[in-house]
Amino acid sequence: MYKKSINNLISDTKPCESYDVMSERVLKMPMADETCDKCGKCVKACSGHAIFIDEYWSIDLGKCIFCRDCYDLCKHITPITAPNYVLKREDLIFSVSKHPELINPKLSEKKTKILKRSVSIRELDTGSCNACETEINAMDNKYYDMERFGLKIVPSPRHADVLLVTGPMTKNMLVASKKTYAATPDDKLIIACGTCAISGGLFVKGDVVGEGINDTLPVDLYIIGCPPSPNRIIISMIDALGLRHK
Amino acid sequence: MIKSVDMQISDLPNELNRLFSEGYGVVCMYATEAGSMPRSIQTVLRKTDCIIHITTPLNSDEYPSMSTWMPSLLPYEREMQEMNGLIPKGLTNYGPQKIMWKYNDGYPLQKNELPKERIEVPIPGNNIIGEGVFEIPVGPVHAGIIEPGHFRFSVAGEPIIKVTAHLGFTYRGIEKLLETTILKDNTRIIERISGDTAVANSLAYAHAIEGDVEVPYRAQLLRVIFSELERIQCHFGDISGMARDTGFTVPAATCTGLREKILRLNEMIGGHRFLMGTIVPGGVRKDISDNSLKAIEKRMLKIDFDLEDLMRMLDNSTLFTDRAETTGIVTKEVAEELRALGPTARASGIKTDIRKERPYDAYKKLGMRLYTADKGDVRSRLTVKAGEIVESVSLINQCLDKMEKGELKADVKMKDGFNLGLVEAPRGELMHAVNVVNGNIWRYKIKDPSFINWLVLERALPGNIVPDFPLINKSFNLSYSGNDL
Repeated sequence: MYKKSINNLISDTKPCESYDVMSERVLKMPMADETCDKCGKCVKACSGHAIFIDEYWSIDLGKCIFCRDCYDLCKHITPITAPNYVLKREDLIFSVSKHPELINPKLSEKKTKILKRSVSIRELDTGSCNACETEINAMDNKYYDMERFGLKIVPSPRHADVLLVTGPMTKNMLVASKKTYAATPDDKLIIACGTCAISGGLFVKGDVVGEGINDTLPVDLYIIGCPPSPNRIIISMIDALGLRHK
Repeated sequence: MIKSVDMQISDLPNELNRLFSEGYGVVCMYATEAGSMPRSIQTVLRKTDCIIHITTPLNSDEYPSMSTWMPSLLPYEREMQEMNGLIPKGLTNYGPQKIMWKYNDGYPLQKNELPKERIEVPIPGNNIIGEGVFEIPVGPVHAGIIEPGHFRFSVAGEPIIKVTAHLGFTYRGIEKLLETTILKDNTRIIERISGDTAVANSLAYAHAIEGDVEVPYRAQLLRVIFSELERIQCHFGDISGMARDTGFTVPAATCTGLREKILRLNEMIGGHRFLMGTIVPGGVRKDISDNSLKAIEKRMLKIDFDLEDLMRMLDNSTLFTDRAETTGIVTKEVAEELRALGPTARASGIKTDIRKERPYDAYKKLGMRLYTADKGDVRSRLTVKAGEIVESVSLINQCLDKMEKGELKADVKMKDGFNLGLVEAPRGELMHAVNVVNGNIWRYKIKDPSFINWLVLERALPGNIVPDFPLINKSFNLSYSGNDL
């Protein structure tokens, strides 16, 4: 009985995706072409207030929620490939004159020195909408199987090398977040995962502390997306922490 | 059909008592602030498809507590006390519900600017004292990848005597944001109330804005398809969690795989893994191609087989049965008393489902069976959820059969007055109520089914052992962010 059931269930052979297959599925971001006349319609329509116009048409990917409203609005705006992650908050601002370079920067040697080829992750929810949690849970399923890259979720911050933070840092979670940060052993990395964690997202005017978690915790890595899909969270960590070449 | 009634506060308890004895149940109770409309308590009651909306103007901050004789009103009275500063006379049982602090002279939903100074409210203990009785505080940061919430377990040895859930850690002030937002379309915020029920929330919002506008037929069918896809992925997540918490990893891993397949299907047809940005007031945002429809059909065909195998594996396992049966029992009396919602209520033998009782969109033209169980334990909730997946597949197949070309969007305009959106989310009855004054939202109230079911969970736990808590919690699968808003 079991054997038959299991055989039926595992019908697709090798569902596990390699690094290359995972990195093929990219995130698309909006970008205006050179003929954009800066009419400002998209600025008004943008729910996350990500698009702004100064010298050029510009977008702050930290605020973008990837709702795709702007594509419907204007024929000048077209999807281009977005980066998976950046290391500095100001690197998230792109414009017509500054398209994203898909170079996958590495964190400095000093920060990743303690990590060999295994990374223990503690997830910290600071008020997210549970879409990010669902995606982080999905990193464990048979398609992504993050443990083969050495990524592992641990139950306590005391065991963790990395804090994977989601959510806009609500005022109610502030104390608990600081305590979790303090409980994590030193030489820790803080990863802001998703738009809420990077900039506060849509809730920046709500009951939250500052704009994103970098007003409270020192962030080392920003993973883009709302929510970031599991393959891109894994790829970002592998690339930024240099797990492939160790 | 919504029947609106105005009533004085002195008559309200008697009238509610009469309606409850007639079989009505409270859907929501909330307060509106003074300003463009008078300060009032709004009560929404439902009996199958009859809805009564009672407006009670208030002159002072105090009103007689009704939860002392009607326990299903307790969470609403506590919430009004905290968010609107209304004091229920006679009620002593309230602690922090959503916020862990209070203002000196004000409350979070007041219309003028909020005071800056706030006082921390310490989380109260359970106050159960006796020989060998311990209190275990858990959270808000948990061992698993779940949202934040704080629990206090009073235990004597292994069995739990009492549990109190202290939530509110994900309170982001969404109701306040929706009142003050200058955006024309609030759908983006609404979708992010609770990420895995994005479709249900945006659908309830759409219904609240649309009022009586008839949505084009194709859009209605697509809405049903999106809702049911969401229900399938949500329930697969629950079943996977239940299997994992009993240490039965093979079905758990299979379930996460099946969920991933649905999420990928979502991404293919709607452009988003949680189908955010698919439903707009008036219809749906984008059409889906014939190829996508074929892909859905193909996937639905496979789900039936996969689920059958999965359930056979769970049914035949004594390991799983031992943990799941007679664990976390919600009796029918408790479920009726607290007005439990969704699969939790159906597992206790209550036949409640908005899709059946007050059909919306294309559900009017589709046939569906209501899955119920009568034991009210973890196993019953599992069978109800598995049955609902089968039913969702059947609903999607019916929609695919009936699919025809046509318009996707009707013109809608927000109407003044009270409007209601009532849908069946994966977790139960979800309500969005909106009070519109001069074309602006004056008060937007969201009631997630989790808001009620957290109380049901507190009642289900005593008598069980602490290691069973994750299993029972997973079988309810409640949303923290939907509760806190």
